[in-house]
Amino acid sequence: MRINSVNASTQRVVNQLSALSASKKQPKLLNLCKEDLIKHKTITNAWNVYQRKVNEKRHIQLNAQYKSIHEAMEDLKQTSPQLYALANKPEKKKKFPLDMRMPTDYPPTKPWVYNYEPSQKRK
Amino acid sequence: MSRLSIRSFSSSPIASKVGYSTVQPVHHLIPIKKQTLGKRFPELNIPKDDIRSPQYKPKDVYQDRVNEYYQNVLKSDLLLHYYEHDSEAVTGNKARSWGEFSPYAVYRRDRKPKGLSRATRDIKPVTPRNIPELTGISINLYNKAALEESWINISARLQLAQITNVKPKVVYNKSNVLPWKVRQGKECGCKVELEGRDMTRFLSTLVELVLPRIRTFKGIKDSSGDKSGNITFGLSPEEIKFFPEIENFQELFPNLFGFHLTFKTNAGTDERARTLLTSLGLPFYKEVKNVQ
Amino acid sequence: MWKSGLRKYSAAASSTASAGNSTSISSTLLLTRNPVITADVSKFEAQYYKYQNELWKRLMWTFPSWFYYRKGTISEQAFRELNPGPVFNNPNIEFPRGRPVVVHQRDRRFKQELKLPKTYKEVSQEKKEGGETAAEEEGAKEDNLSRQIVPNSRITKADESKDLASLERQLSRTLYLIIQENSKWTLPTFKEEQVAQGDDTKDSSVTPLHTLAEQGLYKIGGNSINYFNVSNTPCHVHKSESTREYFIKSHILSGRFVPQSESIKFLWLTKEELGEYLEKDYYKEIEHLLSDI
Repeated sequence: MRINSVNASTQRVVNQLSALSASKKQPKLLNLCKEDLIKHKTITNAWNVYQRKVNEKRHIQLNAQYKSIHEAMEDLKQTSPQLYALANKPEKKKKFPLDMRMPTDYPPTKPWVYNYEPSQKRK
Repeated sequence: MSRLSIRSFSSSPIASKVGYSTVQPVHHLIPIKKQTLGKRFPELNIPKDDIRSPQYKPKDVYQDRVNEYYQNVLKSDLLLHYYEHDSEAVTGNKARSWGEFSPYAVYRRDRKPKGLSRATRDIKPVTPRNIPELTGISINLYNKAALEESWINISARLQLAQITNVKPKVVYNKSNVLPWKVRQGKECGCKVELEGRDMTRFLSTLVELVLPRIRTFKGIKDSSGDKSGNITFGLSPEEIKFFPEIENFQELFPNLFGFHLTFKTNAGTDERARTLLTSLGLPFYKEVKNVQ
Repeated sequence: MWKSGLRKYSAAASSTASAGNSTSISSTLLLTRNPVITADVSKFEAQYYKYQNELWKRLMWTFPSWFYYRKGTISEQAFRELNPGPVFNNPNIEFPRGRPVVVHQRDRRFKQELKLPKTYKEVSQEKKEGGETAAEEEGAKEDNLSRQIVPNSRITKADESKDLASLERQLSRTLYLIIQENSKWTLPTFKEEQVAQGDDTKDSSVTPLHTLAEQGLYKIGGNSINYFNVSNTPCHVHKSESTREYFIKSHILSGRFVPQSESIKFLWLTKEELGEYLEKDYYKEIEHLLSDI
């Protein structure tokens, strides 16, 4: 026997479950023909090659930056041990400011905040 | 390896003791999915990232601005920030051996590390190879109400799926605790592991839309963390409703459930992980101990 | 936790401080403005994202409209009017391109395209009607929650007028500050002695490189700059026989650079533009410090 009507709260739970579950909502599986498959593979390969190049470039740049930090510190150690000690002090408590935001797809209405006033702390 | 079955009364080396095998068991170490061995389900052998697999899911579906920001701006900043000249790896507190001649060492776990119950990791200096990175966010929702009525967990699961765009896994109780009505094998909540674009989208929603609107939110506690660079904090049901996916459909989600968020990083230490998270826009605050 | 060099060298510092006197130390400020908007994607990237996005949509589950639009409500009716169901599998009709497989108002063979009822009025229509309504709308624009949200242009006024000194130009790129004091464009550089002499109290001790850069920046660019110093560690050294220029990296977060004397000119430039303004050898030396984006 089929129950035709349930109370509202049960219906809500049933709806929630149906929104969550995969039954009757899945599309048909992709079934690419050989040509499409080759096209897809070519596109994916091209993307992987591109990504590898981008990553390699980034890696080389970071390595160069690291090397140049190292050289600067080596040099500073020789030139002025006093400054070196100050520059090598670990800043464990330092946090990145919240004002430093990640970029958005479109700029805000006022792209830059100009009216900044220094706080009392900073002379 | 053949075992000697001759008993000798005077002395017996450990190797020839009855009931002992010095050979480590090798079976069942590698989980084998039996379905994949036969020819009945050929698609099970196709890797997930192949388009012919039924589990294929396209990954790079839009420009990922959080990852872009991390790669282009933060990585080089973090490298400079963590740089310490002439620093060496600090060896962690490791488990110790029982000694060479200990008769109890066979099949026994290594001795606990000195002074601690847990071994700690080595802390390596930051180089371009190991710049701290957010590797994942795991969300755990413990649903007390589901202990009595298991259908309540459906709303909790849907809420999490709605927020994160990932179908949550159900979590079951592991033990029996009678006073809390905890029974083994009963549904008690759900969890989600976020990676890739799901993670970055969730993070940007959290940082830009949810947290700024919570008036009482001061930040994550400065003491939070598991000592190896994973930071956890919780959101209460009242705070959940600021997620735009929930906020616009409040009548569909009459009861909301709070959850715990764990930011998983490969930073190694909490201090580094905190700096990394602040760079991604998550504030921290120092807890002031109550002094009377 | 980390073995710091501080302890090791604090003892040696006083004895060897005199050794540094022969070379003049200065700190160069690499002040950057981080990108405000996402990077411009190349054509290939855009195409790949589109391809993947289409695949993603094709493989998506059917939208549970019965959950979001309850039966018998007005919103459900509006949704239904906007989204008429697909052609059902009528046995009396021939389908030359395959029979439809319709479940829950979706043809399972294709991606599901949905139109949602709009919660705002179209701006373009209003403007067509007449000047008065458009003007009224302008006033109501800011506080009207149900207005249509139109994203701002990625190209700003500063880009159009080619104002190289503006912080609003090239929003998708990292900009670097360069200044011109005597006919030569350089990154702002501050000598160690200059500041130390000014401060009578700090006469005996040295100023850390990042503090030196900060003080110098306020001296030439005014006080209204909100900036973040990434680290007290220099990220590069520019060497010559008797001079050492250590690079300190900082980000400007808000505020503006206001030159304190009339002789100072300044520009905010991207990496490629820096190549045109700086000396070639110098640019080549610091090229790896500059971000491509």
